[in-house]
Amino acid sequence: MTEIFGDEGPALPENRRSQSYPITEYDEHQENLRKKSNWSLKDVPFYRGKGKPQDPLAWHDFDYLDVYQKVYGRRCGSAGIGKLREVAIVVPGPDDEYSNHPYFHQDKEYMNRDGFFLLSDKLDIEKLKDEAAAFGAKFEENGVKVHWLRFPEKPMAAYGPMMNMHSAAELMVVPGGGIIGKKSYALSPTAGYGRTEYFARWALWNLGIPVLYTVTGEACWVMGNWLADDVFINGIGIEGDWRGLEQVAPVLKRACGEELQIISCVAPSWKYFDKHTGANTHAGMVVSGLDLNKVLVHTPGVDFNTLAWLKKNGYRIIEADLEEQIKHSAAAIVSLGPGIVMMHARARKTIAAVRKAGVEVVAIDYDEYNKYGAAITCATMLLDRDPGPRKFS
Amino acid sequence: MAQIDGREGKPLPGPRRSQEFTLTEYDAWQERQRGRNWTLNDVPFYKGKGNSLEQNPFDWHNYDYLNYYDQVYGRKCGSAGIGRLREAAVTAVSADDDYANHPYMKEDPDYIVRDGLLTERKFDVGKLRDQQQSYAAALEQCGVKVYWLDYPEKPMAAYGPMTNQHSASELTILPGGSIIPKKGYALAPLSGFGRTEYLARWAFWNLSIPVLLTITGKGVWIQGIFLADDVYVHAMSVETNEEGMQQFLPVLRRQCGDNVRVQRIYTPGAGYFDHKAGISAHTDMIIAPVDVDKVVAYPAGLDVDTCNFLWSNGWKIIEAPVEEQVNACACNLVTVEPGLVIMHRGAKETIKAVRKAGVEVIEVDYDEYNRFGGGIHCATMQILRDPGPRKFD
Repeated sequence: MTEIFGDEGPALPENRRSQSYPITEYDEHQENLRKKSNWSLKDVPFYRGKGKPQDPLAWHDFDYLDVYQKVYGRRCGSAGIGKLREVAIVVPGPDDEYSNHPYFHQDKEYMNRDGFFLLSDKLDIEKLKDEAAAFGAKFEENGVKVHWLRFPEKPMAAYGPMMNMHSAAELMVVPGGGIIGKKSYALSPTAGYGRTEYFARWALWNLGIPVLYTVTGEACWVMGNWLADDVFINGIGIEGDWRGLEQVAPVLKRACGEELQIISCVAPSWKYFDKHTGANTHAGMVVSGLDLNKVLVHTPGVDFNTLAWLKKNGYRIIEADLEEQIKHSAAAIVSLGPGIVMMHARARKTIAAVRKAGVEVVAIDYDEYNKYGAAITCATMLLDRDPGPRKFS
Repeated sequence: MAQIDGREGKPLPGPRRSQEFTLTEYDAWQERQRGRNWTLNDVPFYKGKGNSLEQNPFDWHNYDYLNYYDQVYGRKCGSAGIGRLREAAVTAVSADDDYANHPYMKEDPDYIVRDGLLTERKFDVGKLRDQQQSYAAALEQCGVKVYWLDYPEKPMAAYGPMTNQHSASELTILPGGSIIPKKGYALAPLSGFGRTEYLARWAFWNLSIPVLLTITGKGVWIQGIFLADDVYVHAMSVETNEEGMQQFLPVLRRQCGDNVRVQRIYTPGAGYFDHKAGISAHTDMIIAPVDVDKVVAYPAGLDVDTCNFLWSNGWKIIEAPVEEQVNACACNLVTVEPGLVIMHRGAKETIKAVRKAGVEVIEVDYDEYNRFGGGIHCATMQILRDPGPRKFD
C-alpha cells in the first residue's frame, strides 16, 4: 500500500512544525476516561434499564451543549462578561516584524492602506515579547490560565508570508467550540487567510476545542464583542457584512441561547482603522462591556442606532478619549469579569473615567502592539469564561 | 507562568495517543510555500504600485471561500458527487472493534442490539482485518490513495468505551471541509458521540481538512448520498431530523452550488436497520449511484415521493433483493467513478443486475462487517473526488 501509517514524509525540524503538545487535552481526557473501570449503562442517558422499553427518539431532545465536554474533555466558550478563566496568547517572534515583510518593501503604501502600522514603520520585537510576557503574567495574577501559542518559523498565509500572527482573538470561541471567520480587508493578503485557520487547527488538536462553524461563500465576518451573556455586538463594515452575520447568527444562538440579542454596530468609512478619528471596523475596538450596565465606547466609531440602543437599554456610557483611542486603542479592553477589566496603561484619561464609574482596572503596557493598530483585545484568544450576568433574561 | 510551551504533561505511550502523522499535510504545504519567491503580484486584486486610489477596498467581499481554502490548507478536498474517487481513508482494525467484549454488551445485550446493528454477537477481528486490507487494496488498484486511520487503543466515547470505530464515512467531506454530524440513535451511547469528532480532529490535523460545520443544538443529522454532482438524497429518519437538515443545507449549497437538488427520503421504521425487512435509517443503506442515471436501491426502504423523483427524472433503478439487502447490505457500495463500483461479493444477484446494466463491478469480501449492519460505504471516508457528471444542468 502506498500509505501505511500516515507517515507522509520525514519529519520537519521542530521549529518548522505546527505546535503540537506532548500530551493534548483530548488524549489526556481519553486516558482519564480509560481509568474508569466500571462503565455501566447507567452512565448512558435515556437508558431505562434491562428489559425495559427504550424510547428511540430520546436522543432527539439531547442538546450538543449537553455532550461536547464529554467528548472533548473540556468546557470552552467566552460569550459574555463572566469571570475569565482561560486565554491563549501568541509568543511573538521575528516573523512579527512587518518591516521585514517582502510586500512592505515592495509597496508600503498598499500595505498601509487599511490603517495598520499606526505609529511606526518598525516594530521592536524584543519589546513586544516582553510586553506579551508581562501581559500573560498579568492574566495569571488574576487567576486566568494562559496557553502560549507558537507559530512555526516563517509561517505562510494563502498569498505569501504571514505577519501579525499576534491577533489570537480572531478565533472566536463560544460555548461548544470556535468559529473561523472570513477576512475581507485588513491584512487580507498577509494574515487574513491562514492565521485564524492555524488557530482553529491548533485549538482543536491541542486543547480539544472543536470548530463549530467556518464562514464560507462570499460572506465576510470577524468576531465582535460581548456586553453580557445575552448581548453580542457584531461589527458591520469592511471586515464583516450582513451575509457573514446571517451565517454566524444561528450558530451563536444555538450556542448561547435563542434569546441572545445581536446588535449590529455599523462602522463608518471603509478603513480598518482611521488614524484621525479612531474609528475602527472591529466592534471590539470601539465598544466594550465593563460591567452589566456599563460600556466603554469610542463614539466616532459607533453608529447612531447602536448608541441609541445602548441609551435606551440603560447602559451608562463611558467615552474613550480621542487621542488615547488613536494612539493606544483605549476602548479596546479585556473583560476579566463583571466590573473588572484589563486596559492599556497609556490610556490614562480613559482609565480614570472607567475607574470613576466604579470599574476596577488592571493596567498593562502594550504600546508596541498599538503600533500595529492593534490592542490587547486583538492579542487575546478568549477560551473560557464562567457564566456571567445577563441583561435581559 | 503556569504554561510556557504548551507542555501540559508527559507524553502518553504511542498506542495511547491520537494518531499524528510524522509530517502533516499542512506542515508539508507550509514548507513548500516558504520556498517561493513571493511578490504582491501573487495577491488577488492588487493593482500595482502607485495605484492606491484604484485598490477597491471591497474587492475581497466577493471572494469565495472555495477560491482560497486550498491555498491556506494546501489541498483540495470534497466528495460531493460521483466523479472519480481520488482519496479515501479507512480505519485500521484493532482488538477494540470486537463489540462482544464491550461491557455494555455483557450488561444488556438486548439494549445494544436494539437499533439493529448487530446480527451476531461475536466478531472475528482477524477476518475483519483481512477483509479491510483486501478492500483497501481494491481501492488502490482503482487508483485511489488510501490513508490508514488509527485510533489509540481503548478509545473512549462520551458515555463509555467506543465501539465500531470502523465507520469512517461518518465524517462527511464536502468541497472545502468537513461536517461533524450529531447522532440521534444508532450506537449513540457507544460511538455516536466521540467517533466522528475523532475523525474530524484527525483529518484537520493530519490531512489539513478543516471543519465547516458541527451540527449543534437539538439538530440530528448524519450524511446522505450524492447521486450526481447536483443531486443529493438524504434519509429523514431516527438519524436525521429537520433541524439537522436546516443546519446542513445552507452549507451544502454554498459548497456545492445553489442548484443542488435535495431529495428527502422519509424512510419507514424507527430503528437503524431492520434485519427482516431490510429498511434502514441511513441513506447509504438503501440507495447508491452506480452510473449517470443509474442507481441501486432498496425500494421498500424509500418513500413513494423519492421513487417518483427517480422514475420521473429518468433514473434506471436496479433493485436489491430483500435477502441480499438483509444479509449483504447490497446497496452499501462505493462508486469509484460513473460506471465503476466496488460491491460486497455476497450481493450476488444485485451484482449481476448491476453488470447487466453496463456497470463494471469489483467484488470484495466484507461479510464480517456486514454482520455489524455496515458495509464498505460506511467504512470509507471519501476525501476527494474529481468533478463528476451533473443531472440537471
